[in-house]
Amino acid sequence: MYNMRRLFAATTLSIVVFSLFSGMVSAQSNRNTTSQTAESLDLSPEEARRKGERVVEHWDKCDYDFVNMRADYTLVQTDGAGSSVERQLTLRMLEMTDYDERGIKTTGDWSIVSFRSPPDVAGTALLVHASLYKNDDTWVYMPSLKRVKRISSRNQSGNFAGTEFAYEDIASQEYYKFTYRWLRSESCGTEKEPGFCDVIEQIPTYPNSGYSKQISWYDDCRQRRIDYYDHNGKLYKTQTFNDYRQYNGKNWRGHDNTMINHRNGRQTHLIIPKFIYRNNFTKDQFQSQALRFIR
Amino acid sequence: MDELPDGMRNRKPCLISVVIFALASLLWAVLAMAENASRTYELGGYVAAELLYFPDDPLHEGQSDVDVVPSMALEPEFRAIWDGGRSQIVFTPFIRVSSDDYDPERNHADIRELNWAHFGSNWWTRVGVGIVYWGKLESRRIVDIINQRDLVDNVDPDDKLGQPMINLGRQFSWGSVEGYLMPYFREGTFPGLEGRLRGPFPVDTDQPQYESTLEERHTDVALRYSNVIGDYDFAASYFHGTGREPRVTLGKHAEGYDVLIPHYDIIDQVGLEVQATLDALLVKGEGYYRWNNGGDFPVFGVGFEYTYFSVWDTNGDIGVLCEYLHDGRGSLAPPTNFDDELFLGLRWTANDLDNTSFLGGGLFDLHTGSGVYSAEFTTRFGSNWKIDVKAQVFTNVSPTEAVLYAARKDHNLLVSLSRYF
Repeated sequence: MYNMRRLFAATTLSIVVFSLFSGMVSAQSNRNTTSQTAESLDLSPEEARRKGERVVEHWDKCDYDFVNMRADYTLVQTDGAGSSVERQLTLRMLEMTDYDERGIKTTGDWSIVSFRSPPDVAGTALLVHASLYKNDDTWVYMPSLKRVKRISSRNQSGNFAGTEFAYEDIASQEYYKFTYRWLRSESCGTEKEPGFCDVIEQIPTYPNSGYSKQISWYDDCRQRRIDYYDHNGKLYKTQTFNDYRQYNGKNWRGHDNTMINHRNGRQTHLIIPKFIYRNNFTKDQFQSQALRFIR
Repeated sequence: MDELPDGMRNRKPCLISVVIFALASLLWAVLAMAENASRTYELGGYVAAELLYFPDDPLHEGQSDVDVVPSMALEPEFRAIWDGGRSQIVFTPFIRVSSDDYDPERNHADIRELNWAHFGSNWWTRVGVGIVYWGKLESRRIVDIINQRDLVDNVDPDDKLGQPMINLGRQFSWGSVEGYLMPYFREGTFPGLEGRLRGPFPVDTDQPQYESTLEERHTDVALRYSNVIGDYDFAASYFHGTGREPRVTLGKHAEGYDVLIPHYDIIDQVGLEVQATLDALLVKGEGYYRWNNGGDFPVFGVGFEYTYFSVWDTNGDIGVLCEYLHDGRGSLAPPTNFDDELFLGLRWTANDLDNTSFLGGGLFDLHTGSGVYSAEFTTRFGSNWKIDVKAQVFTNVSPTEAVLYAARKDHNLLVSLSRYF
């Protein structure tokens, strides 16, 4: 009898423990933290595409409704030998709000990147009206001449101002600029900022990209890392995003962004103290005629 | 007092001082009224040391025969910004001091900018002395008329004298419209008797003649409409007032030598500018029709710029420029070296951290074959130093090209080292 009671107690305990455990698992079931792969889940290509699209659509919408944003960047460019130079930039963004029936944006945002240093180019500003399917519309303002010039934006793969960032890397990453394939899920981030990511292969659909594909790590609303592959399929650059903080109770922003070029060992480090929302920006400020007033 | 720079040796120094003082006080008042908390100040600008080298001996009587002309230029920029960047006051004086044994006219000072600018929700204004750039082409500034050229400073057409103005602009759904009211005319600067890069006789800036009895106090007006539709950027402009380019007639200087007397007419000018941005190809055109400047005449230019990006597996771009320039003016109009010219150029932009770039080209006359070759190179070193090298060579100049023929021995090389702050 005694043995039977012990067995009964042990069984009850294990059932309680098991149900507790399984309860925890089911509470987390929409964000499974067990590593999986498309193969282990036996996903068809169609299923992998749809799973990838769902992840990126969710991530993309986390950044909606920011309305406008301003941030002062410190850019540190380091060469292979370790010597570095610093530049100061300001980014202003204006959100465009055209959506399709899925609630996904169909117009690229408008942005102005202006230089605060080095002093001989202070005031130089680049205005971009981003497009999803064709070349962006781009103007540059040269303060020494007071001249605004429309420039070609075919140069998506060219490097921005001698940094390791291509123009397409600094352009806003819109949902409809890529096709997606879910590859796997795994732990990601850093020791300080650990996370769990869906790893997605994304292939640019916009013209003149310098990449055959990108592998991107999405941790819910936060993009943690992008591996860029060149047209020969070789790993070309790696970008990591750290020091994430949330704004407006919704929009996550990384305040520490590093691009490493594996070809030449150079890297570009962007440090942003804070992002400023609810600026009094107007659409008319993001026009070529207004560029000379930007400071 | 005859050592004073030209800009200060004006016939009406008193009036100018009063106007500048009044303007400065007005801007000071605007600044004082602005909200204190968000106001920031910036100091920018540069100081430059420059060597100008003429390899050939001068051609004309009176010209200085020094072949290396050292000079210094200072252009600080003071800026106050408030209202989240929507309001600013900028003050940019400029002074050049050249070596004594060269043209004293080149010692000059100017106020490039002293204005208050405000950008409202869909309108903007700028009150004070400012600089405005119009146009699309690279080899000649055709429609650009708001500012007088500072021809004595350098060979660069982009050196301009600050223009006093009230500028008002508004953005509409159908484009933007800007108006300019310019209450004071800036007389052109020209090389003096000792200077190079001039005609056989220097232009005497001490005895200008004006069509208007108000002389330089005639109020000039300009209007410009501009818009962007898809790949096309375009603008139309109208100017009425004292023409920036003077006609010239032969006269006598106070000291007895022959000079050219500048005559400033009241002109009308209608201008057009277009640029199509078609992938890597930019197609451009600009032109005007001008009335009453020694006749009525059209001037225009058309051309393209094609860019090869990331050439030879580098980060650099190569741009190919080709522009045709036509000038329909007659012999009584202000002199120019353009009539029917073809410009061919090559631009290299390194896209490096130091903004290194090179632009080289040739301007060829389609009738006489006269050529002007020019090249410029610029790069930064450290974060505050910049070096500029510019060269200009005249070849095969025909005697029928009066302006170029007079300058055919004035090949020049300019090296300048600037420290920005």
